[in-house]
Amino acid sequence: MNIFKKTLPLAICFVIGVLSFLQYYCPHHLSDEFADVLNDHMNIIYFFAYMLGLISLSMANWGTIKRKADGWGYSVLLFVGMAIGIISGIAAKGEFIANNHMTAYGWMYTYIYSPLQGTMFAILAFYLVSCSYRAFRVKSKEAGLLFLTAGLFILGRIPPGQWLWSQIFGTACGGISGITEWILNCPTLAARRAIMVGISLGSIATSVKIVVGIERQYLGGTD
Amino acid sequence: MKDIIAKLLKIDRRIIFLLTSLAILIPIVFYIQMPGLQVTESTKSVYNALDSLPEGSTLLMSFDFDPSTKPELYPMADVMCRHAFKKNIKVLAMAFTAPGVAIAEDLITKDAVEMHKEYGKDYVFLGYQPNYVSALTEFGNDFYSVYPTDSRGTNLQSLPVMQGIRTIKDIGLVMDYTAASYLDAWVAYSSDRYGFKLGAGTTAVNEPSCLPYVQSHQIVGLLGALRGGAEYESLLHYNGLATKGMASVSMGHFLILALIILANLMVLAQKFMKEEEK
Repeated sequence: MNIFKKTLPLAICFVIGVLSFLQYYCPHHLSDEFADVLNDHMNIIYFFAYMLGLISLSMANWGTIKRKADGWGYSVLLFVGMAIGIISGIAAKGEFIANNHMTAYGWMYTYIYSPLQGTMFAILAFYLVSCSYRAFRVKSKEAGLLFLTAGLFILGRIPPGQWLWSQIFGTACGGISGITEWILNCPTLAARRAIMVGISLGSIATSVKIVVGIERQYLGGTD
Repeated sequence: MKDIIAKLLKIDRRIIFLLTSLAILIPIVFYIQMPGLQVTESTKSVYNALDSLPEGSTLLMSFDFDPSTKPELYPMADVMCRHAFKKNIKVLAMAFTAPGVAIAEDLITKDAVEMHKEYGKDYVFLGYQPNYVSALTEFGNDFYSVYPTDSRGTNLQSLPVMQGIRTIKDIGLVMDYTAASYLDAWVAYSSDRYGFKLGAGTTAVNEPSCLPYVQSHQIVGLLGALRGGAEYESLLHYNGLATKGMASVSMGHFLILALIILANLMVLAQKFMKEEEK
């Protein structure tokens, strides 16, 4: 049984991992065909991942309804929304407009989903302004530096700020726009690059560990 | 004085919410235009990349965002689509996010109607692709294995708009509009590997993450948030959604700056008064 639980998955992972790596650097038609096969299999796996997510979500919420736990009404809403979404989506064949008329699916997207998402995101602006007023205190050198950079950025990224700066300080160093561009392209980018390189090295190390079988947590269990 | 400052520092947040609403709404309602927009090199590069394409070439627009970031990304996509149509450049639209499908379809249909363009001949909507890694690696081998049909189910190869396109390398310019990490995938899995022109448009928060690709010339340029769209509109001499929205953005930013300065001055004054009392 150990073969099916451990050895075989590890072997599949190693072979596919090494072949996928080689495929990326090999400009041959066999390599492209192999990529096609791999992509088809990835789509199938994606389908199972989505189904797994759907089943897991349904089971968790069904349990909440059965136990009448706090907020069970939201779980009922989830099932109602899911049912309406799936039924209307299938009925509309995934189209938002059919025969020059908006389908129920399209209507829900345009008048429910889209405004709700927009509202959720827009609310952040109000909290951001309120928090800036209440919490942003220049109490240290670091906070002062942050405030200075934020102030320059605010002025440099909006037309009236750029206009105001050019009226007071002229256009030396490319004006405020040039200064903000420099902040973005030099110190910010240097920090960002360091983060990106760090993340990439970490990803490569983890991938190598998975491919050669050092990292085995995806198999389940504790070892 | 001391009491007034203390009260102001503990001001009801609803008053700040009201001020924010006014700062955003007044420029929209009264259509206030802001002077002094300076165009960045990055925006100019994207503009030039599209503008230099000959008539009949193709622009592929990937709508990898959802309604939450639509105010920042829709205007730049809108102006680029108009620019392409104006230059008789064919437009292909697609989405790697499910909510991006409706945004893409709405935008391209609206612009096509306004600019008298014909579906299938001047533009096409390809639809949604859930597995973007697979699609991006496959684009360079055979475009039609990723999208055998358009979103309406028509055989893609039979459409005149697809003439001369076999792989993504046959496309003049690819633009990725994203608020997430889709650009990383576009660069790693597709543009670096197959060597086609890629540009991007992103949200203000995401801009620093995308900038390394501009500096290393892995993308032709980057449009940053609503301002990027407004800059593009000014280059095209088009008064669109981004230009109209910039006044609200400006007022909102000024309000934040003013409130931070005011709050800090009041804290400083409070501290000064306490020290004087001692």
